[in-house]
Amino acid sequence: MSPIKTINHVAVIGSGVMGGGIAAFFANQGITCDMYDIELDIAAANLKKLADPKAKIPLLYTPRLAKKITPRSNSDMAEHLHKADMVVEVVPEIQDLKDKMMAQIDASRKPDSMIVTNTSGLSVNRMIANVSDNMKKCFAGTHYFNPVRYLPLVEIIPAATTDSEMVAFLQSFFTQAGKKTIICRDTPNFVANRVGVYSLMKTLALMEKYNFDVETVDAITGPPIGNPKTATLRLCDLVGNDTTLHVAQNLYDNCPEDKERDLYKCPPILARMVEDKMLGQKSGKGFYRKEGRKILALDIKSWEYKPAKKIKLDEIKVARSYQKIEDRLYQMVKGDSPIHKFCREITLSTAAYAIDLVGEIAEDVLTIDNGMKWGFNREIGPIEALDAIGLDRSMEWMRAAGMSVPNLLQEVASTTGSFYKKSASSKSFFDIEKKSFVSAPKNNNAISIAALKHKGNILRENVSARLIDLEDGALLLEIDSRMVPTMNPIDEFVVSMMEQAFEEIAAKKFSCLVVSNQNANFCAGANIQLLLELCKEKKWDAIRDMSKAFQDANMRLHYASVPVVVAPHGMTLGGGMEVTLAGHKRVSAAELYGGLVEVGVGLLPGGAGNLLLIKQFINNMASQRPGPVVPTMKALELIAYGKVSSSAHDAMSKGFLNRDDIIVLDKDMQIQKAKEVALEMVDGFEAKKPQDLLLAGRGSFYVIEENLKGLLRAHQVPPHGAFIATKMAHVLTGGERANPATPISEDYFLELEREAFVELCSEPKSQERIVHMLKTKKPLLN
Amino acid sequence: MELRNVVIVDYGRSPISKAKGGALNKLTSLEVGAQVIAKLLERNDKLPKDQVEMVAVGCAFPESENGLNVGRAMVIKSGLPTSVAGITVNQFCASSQQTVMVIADAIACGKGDIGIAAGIEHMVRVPMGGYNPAYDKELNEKNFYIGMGDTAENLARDIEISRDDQEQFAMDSHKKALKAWDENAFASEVIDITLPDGSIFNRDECMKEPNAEKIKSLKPAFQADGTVTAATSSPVSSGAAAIILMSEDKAKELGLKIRAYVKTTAVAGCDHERMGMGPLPATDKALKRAGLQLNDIDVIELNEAFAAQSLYVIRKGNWPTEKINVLGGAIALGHPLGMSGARIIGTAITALEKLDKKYALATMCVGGGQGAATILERRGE
Repeated sequence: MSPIKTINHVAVIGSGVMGGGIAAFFANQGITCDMYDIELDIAAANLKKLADPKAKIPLLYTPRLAKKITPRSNSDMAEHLHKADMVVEVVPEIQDLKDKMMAQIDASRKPDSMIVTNTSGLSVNRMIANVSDNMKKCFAGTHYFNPVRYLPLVEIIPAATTDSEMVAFLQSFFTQAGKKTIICRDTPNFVANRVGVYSLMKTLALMEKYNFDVETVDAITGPPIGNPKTATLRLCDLVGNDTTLHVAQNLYDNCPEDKERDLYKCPPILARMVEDKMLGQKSGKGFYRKEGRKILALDIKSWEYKPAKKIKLDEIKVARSYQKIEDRLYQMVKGDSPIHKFCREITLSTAAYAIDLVGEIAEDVLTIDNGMKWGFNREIGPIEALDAIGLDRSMEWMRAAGMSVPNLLQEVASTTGSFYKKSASSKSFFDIEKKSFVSAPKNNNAISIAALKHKGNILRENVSARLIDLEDGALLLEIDSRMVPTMNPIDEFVVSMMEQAFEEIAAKKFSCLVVSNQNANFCAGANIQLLLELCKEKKWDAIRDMSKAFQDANMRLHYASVPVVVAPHGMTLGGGMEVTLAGHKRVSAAELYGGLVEVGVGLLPGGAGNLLLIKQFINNMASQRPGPVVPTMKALELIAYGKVSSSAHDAMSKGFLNRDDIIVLDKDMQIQKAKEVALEMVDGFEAKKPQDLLLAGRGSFYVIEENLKGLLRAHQVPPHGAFIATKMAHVLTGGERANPATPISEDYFLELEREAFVELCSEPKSQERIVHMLKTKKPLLN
Repeated sequence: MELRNVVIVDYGRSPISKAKGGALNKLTSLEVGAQVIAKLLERNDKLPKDQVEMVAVGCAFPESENGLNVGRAMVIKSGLPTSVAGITVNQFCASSQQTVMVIADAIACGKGDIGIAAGIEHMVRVPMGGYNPAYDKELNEKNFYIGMGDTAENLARDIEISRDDQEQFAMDSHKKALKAWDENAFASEVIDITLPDGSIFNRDECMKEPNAEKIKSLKPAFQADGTVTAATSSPVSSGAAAIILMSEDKAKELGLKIRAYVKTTAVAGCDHERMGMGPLPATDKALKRAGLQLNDIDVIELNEAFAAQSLYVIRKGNWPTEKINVLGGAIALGHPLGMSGARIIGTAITALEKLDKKYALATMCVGGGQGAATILERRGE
């Protein structure tokens, strides 16, 4: 018998932060889940936290998915555990407790069910010393990272007895669920935490050596060197200083051969913090403390909290001017200032530490780099970082700093000259057995836009968008801004390419169109800098033309004679959402932060977004016969408050996506899926036709206007916010002409939208909102 | 034509449920109302159902599941014979006070002997304002559609009713309601409602032990510089009430206990921007018609739309506080709009019986600038 290879029901044992996150992970996939804890009340309370719609970090795609999870008491295992195809053990990291739990699981599980442990530090092989042979075969470590929904890494740690098919199944299961896996050896703290905790401990040591304060350390060890904004000390606060100390101690106790072992010996600063109950977020104070809206930082010398300083450093400024992380990192480590030296030392020592562990904690460099990228959201892996610096230069700097140069580094420098060889379509890494490059595994079913480009499939291109032959008759419109690559805003070049797409469709007889990209975000709005300049110059006609061009482009998509599938992901805001609404079908990534947020910059959607949204509401609600006001209010609520979805599921319940739109968990497969869906729609596809609209009309406009005045009197909306919402209501109720018995044309509606857009652009308070957004990246509530 | 005496033989209501997580949220108003009427008839088994002329159902927002002539639907749903007529009456908050008037007037004129005046509202399932409101331009410019909270603010400003006084009034209302429940004062009027899961809902949900500190910390709900807060406004709530009316002769013929006589009723208009003052002109008219003075009234049920609005009426009319809402008012018990008219008439009878008194006044303000008043007489026979 081999382990079960389908997962319909899961038991998660432990309902704390990790257990809850893991239960949510399964619930998000629609898998039913029993969540156990020592008492039913504890499990129920933790489930309530998961389902809290106001949770700061929502772990469920939507609170409704909490229904998939049943809280249970450990004492009910005998009755219920046998239902589970997979049991995930997430009890505290105490060997005795784990042993007892393993025995209990073994007694109640069904034969061949997969049993996995989420231990972060204990030996996976040791854990199953006393269980049945069947369980030994069906057992592995699956180590998730917190918060489970947002950190893609799952470390898979096979035990010596684990069935190899189970390992393959786990890899494929997690990948389809949108996770990234690495295979780790059963060594203390596995891969990501082993290197990650080293990097953290080393940073604390360097902090003392360089005499840097808390704010400076986080400013330089964050995005400038490719780490997320949590940087180092904020991450400590998030994880909990007691946990960090515990993990470090685990390494000290269990890695007697580790060259850097002394670093794990209880660093005084952490010990003092734990003693003073400064555990981080869980105790309300750590390296930082929040006081109301104010953020205070710990002054290490006086051991007091002081208002956190804003750190402005020339080194960071220079680095920021480079878009690629390789260049940014190099800029941060190349010079002789204390900042440069600090960054150099942490980068080189982490790389050296990681290189020395290749073959011990994981098979290859790729696994370690991927572990650090996927587990800690780093842009670049520690070993990859040396490629960015140059191996010879890295070695030279290491020697100069008195560090010993790892043998593997010397070997690679003298053979292949780099750890990786990357091209648009492939990636190879140095293999320590073969002593040469081998290809990194890749999903052959996934479409890579980079590979298509490399293959010569680009049909047209400008600075913000591209038309690419997706093959099999499908055309891809890629929104890909060279000027703002993280945001991909809509600009005239995107709009032009939207039009050109139809020339290509006509010329080359493409049967369908997919709109997407494979950047960090689909499209986070429009070029508001340009818009602001036009406003300042009072070029209202130009603004009107701009709005009309985008309206026309979106309506052209909407009324296209071939199926148009939009595949949004990540931030899909403003113009990005308007394009999404224009599609005939959406294949969305599960992580979709979508909304029509123009109100944040004092405007309303100006690219047919109002029309497309209200049409969607009217059509979707038609069978309920709600009358004209309900869809109007639904649409108004979304755009007047600039509501943003917290996931694709949430976008569906808010009404941005339709119930029959498709949600893809594995983002790598999104374009492939979108292409499949588009091709499936080709046969029998009928172009949509413009329809006259029956809208709520003036009577309802007055109602909304009066309600807004009321909200304003109660100070529940800011004055300009109410003004903008009134303009939105004017458009959504169909202006002066509409009433529930008199339909208006879509063209008239678009004219209303355009004119309201231009009018709002001319409002000084709207312009203030734009300026504020450009300056602070936050909306102004004036 | 000589008018006949009209009497109330029984009254019942559902407990009132709160908005968030309210017990009645899984039932429609029609379902709640039908249970109330059916159970009320059940306990009046001497009453020949086929002699009921009409059921009139008051509802402030008679649309969606309260639409489609919910009054007629109620006849069928509550198990009355198809021969009984059913109508829906909309007079906003006084909708079911108006149904009492419609039924009482008909009986007085000899157009039928028995009628049921009911009131329903589900302020969660069909929100205040309804789903598809539309305003008339000209009336809107005259501020005809002014928000109810703003009308309360106007009254508070007119005679400088302080926030403290409003809060004290609201807290008193809660205390009186809690005390009434402790004393089981609503035993005769509250009818158990069976919920979809089979459980029984049998106690009002809105009233609570007032927390002065919390009440004082609330922000004004309608105007940032105003004095009216959520704590001094009646809460969003749901429920249903029904009153059985008949001619005095019919009650005697059937051997039913007469609980009160409908002495007279009145409606009156007032400034729509100060709609909360409506009880003053309506009461004046009613007292005159009844040939009574305010002093003659033993029990006053003054619907507490807002504390400010109630205090305005009390101060302007020089009304005796100790006679008003002795069992608590709408701020504590809840104000399911279309239900409240019948509820305050019924509770007035409950209070008359509890205190063994004679005359009661039930009066309320109405959105759009109106007031409604009913004077009841309890005779010792």
